[in-house]
Amino acid sequence: MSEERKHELLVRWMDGEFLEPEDQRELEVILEAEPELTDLQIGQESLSRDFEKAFKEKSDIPYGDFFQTKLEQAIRDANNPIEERKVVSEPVSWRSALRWWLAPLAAGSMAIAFLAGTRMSPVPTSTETIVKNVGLNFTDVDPVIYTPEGGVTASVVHDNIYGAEVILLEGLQPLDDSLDLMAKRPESTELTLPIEMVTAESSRDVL
Amino acid sequence: MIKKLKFAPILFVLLMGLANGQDRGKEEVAQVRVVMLFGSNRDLQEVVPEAKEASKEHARRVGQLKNLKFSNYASLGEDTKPVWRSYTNWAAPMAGHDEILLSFEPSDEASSSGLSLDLELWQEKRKVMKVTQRLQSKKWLYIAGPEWRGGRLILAVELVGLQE
Repeated sequence: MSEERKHELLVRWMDGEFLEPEDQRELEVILEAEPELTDLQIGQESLSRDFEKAFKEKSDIPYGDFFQTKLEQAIRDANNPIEERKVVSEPVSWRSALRWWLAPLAAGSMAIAFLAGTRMSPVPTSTETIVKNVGLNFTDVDPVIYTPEGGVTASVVHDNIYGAEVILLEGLQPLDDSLDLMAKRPESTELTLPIEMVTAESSRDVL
Repeated sequence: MIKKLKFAPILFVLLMGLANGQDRGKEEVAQVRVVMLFGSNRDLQEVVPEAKEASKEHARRVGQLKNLKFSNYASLGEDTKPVWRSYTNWAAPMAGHDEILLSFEPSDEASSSGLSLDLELWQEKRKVMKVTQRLQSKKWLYIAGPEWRGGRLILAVELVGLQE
């Protein structure tokens, strides 16, 4: 038996591997010639058991998959030069291209919106005034007229020639023609004011 | 010392009465004169025989506007009421009638340049118009109101007796 074969059998035996019957017979021949090896094997087994007791049980490496992936990536990068990686990289998507245009586009939109806001005038409604300038030297501030009645519109005319102003109300209900505005009422007849006025007078009396 | 304090309650009552009587809100800061004009292309003697003819100044000012240009203008009545510092007052230019009323209340301090008033026009107990308008002495404000008997009622508003 060669020394190499003898060494292989002894190592496998010491490690506790399963030996085929033929290998087992060859090993027994060796052990008969050198019986001290049996004691050595027993001591080896005892030492291995002591080591297993001394150390904790095996546990998985934390985040093993992550580190494994990183290691694999590092190995791939090391094998592929940078130039090659650039060539094989995926084509630039429209989203990544938009990322560079988004900031100036947003800034431009805000600037346009601001300029538009400064130049826009409020849209007149049916109850707002339409101002018409008559005469010269128009300097007055236009009043805001509120017409609660539906269908009533108001317009203001500044007459600078005669120094007058006219508020023109259109859409008011005409007064009944049978109403005699010139008829004198008895002085004892009290004027009926709207309810708001009565309330105000009452609150004033209380105060 | 006690003798001096004896009059304290009386003094207190007098001061309270004086303070109660000095309601600055009722101070008169100006007056508002409201003239009810009536413009019509018909003969006024037929439409409103008892009415007086309106002054030529009113006719000239109002007649500039196409919508208010009539051949005849009459004055149906007028009313002059005080403007209180912080209370609303009402003018009824047609004596005894409440079909057309104008309420007014200051919205600013009176000054030499005039007085800002919150004006409300009421027609048949319904508010039909509200405006904050600065009135100046000797400058008329005309409010073209509703139609009546084929013509148009126009309120002429003037600020008089402005107290600065």
